[in-house]
Amino acid sequence: MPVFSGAGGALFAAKLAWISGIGFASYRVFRTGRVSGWRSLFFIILAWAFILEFKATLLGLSGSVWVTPEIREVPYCHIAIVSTFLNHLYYQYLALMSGHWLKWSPLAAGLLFWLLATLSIGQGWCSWACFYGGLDTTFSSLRKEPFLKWFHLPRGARDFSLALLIAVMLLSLAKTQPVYCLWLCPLKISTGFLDPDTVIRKWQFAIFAAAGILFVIALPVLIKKRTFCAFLCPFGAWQAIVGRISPFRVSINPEVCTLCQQCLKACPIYAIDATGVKEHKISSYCNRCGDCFDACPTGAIDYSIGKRLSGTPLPRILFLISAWLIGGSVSLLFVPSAILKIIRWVSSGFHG
Amino acid sequence: MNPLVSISFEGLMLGLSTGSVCATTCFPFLLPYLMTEGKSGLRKQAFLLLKFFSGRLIAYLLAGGFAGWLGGRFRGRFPESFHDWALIVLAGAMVFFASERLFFKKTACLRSPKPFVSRQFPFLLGFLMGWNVCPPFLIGIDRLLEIGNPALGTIFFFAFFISSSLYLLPLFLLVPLFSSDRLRTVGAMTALLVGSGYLAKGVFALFFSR
Repeated sequence: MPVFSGAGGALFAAKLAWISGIGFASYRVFRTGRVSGWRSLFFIILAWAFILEFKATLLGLSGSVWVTPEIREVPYCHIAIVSTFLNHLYYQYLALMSGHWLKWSPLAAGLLFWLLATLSIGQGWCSWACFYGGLDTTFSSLRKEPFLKWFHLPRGARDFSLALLIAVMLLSLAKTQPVYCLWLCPLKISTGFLDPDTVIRKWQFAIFAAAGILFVIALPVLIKKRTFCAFLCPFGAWQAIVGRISPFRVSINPEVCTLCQQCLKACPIYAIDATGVKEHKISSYCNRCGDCFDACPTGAIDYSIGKRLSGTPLPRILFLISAWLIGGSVSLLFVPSAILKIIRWVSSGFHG
Repeated sequence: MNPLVSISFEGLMLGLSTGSVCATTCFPFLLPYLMTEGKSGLRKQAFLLLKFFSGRLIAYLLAGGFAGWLGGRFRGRFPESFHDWALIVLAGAMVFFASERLFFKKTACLRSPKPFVSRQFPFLLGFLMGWNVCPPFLIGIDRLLEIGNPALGTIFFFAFFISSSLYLLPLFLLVPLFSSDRLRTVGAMTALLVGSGYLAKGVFALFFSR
């Protein structure tokens, strides 16, 4: 068919195939009532497609079919925007004081989409649309049971990400640099912006590698939790605060809950603690991933509008439609293109 | 114009025009501290404010006097490593304060009164932050080295203190928001992170980059 011919046609076909895949996954979720499996699969594909599409240079494939000129322009990601949020405000203040208006630059570009995503799915971004979260999800999904059963955290430890968010915002403001991206982010692949001083650059690389190995690979494999998202991601903490503008919550039905703590064990980001189970409360760090629904033997947990379960499937339907739409829209930016590249790579006999 | 009026005006203008830069330099230390130590009562808040600004004022007066004296005697400069040492001391104090709040608060000294260092920490923080070199501070020091008069130096930095403090004051309005134990812990963790970051920066600059 002519519509599918040529490079544009192939991409169109890949997009159609990907949309059909999302449609099938969402149908299975509605049909079976189990959220976590299909969501995890979608989320993992999202992350690895992003790596392939934008960050292929990591794999040492420079000059090959994987690296096209446009992917060298690594996007200014949501984690970077949040950790330099005060800088953006400060530049606007300077612009105002000097009588000139600066462009809102990356903040403006993502602001509307972020607002829409946050209003509709709130913290759900971190489990449905973030193109990094699928990485530690991948490694935390490798085993059925964790090697180390670290289900409980010391008091206050879950708030470390919030402290990190405040610290990197303040340090970025003081140094007028994206401190998190330079020093801590274990996901950065583009290194062009790192410090030109050789010794400092080596330290930045060492911290980048250590944080990546520890928080994205080793700890998720060992304890079956998404440790990067839970402790090292400033955006997660940001969404935990501002995500409250979304009406959707995850709630526990106290009349059905048997206090078995299976939800606490299943929660990949430590959003449920022992006190929370007793009081039937889930913290604002909840990513709406649905892992606890599937782990709960009595079906006591579900999506809700406001803090109480309504007893109808409406909140679940509305949330899941929003989540698939937001996650699907984000994925359409790079997953079909990554699929095409894989197909070309395979059809070329794994060359190029 | 009378040199006294002229130098006061210079200090005031420097603070007013560059106060926002001062604020961005001071916020990383001040905000986590206020989160950790925030007092809910107006009276307690006022004491906190008074202690902090007293420390900062004394540091500025000493810096102004010293820069004026140094300029008058030697036409010299502050030692190159001064900034790094000042940063190390301030960051070290911050790490000590945060560690004490996070790890030692509920141990042996549970019922003992707050130790002297802890009680006077706002003063100490203000004093150490006053000595820390930020761009406006450097501009001031440079001007005083040129003038070479300790008395005028002190007046210049007094005026600079007044105008630049205007930019820090709004932060104290946030203190009543930091009333929960959870936020205090977050504040202490933030202080530990910021202190550790600056401590590493100071040590690196002093021992590895020269």
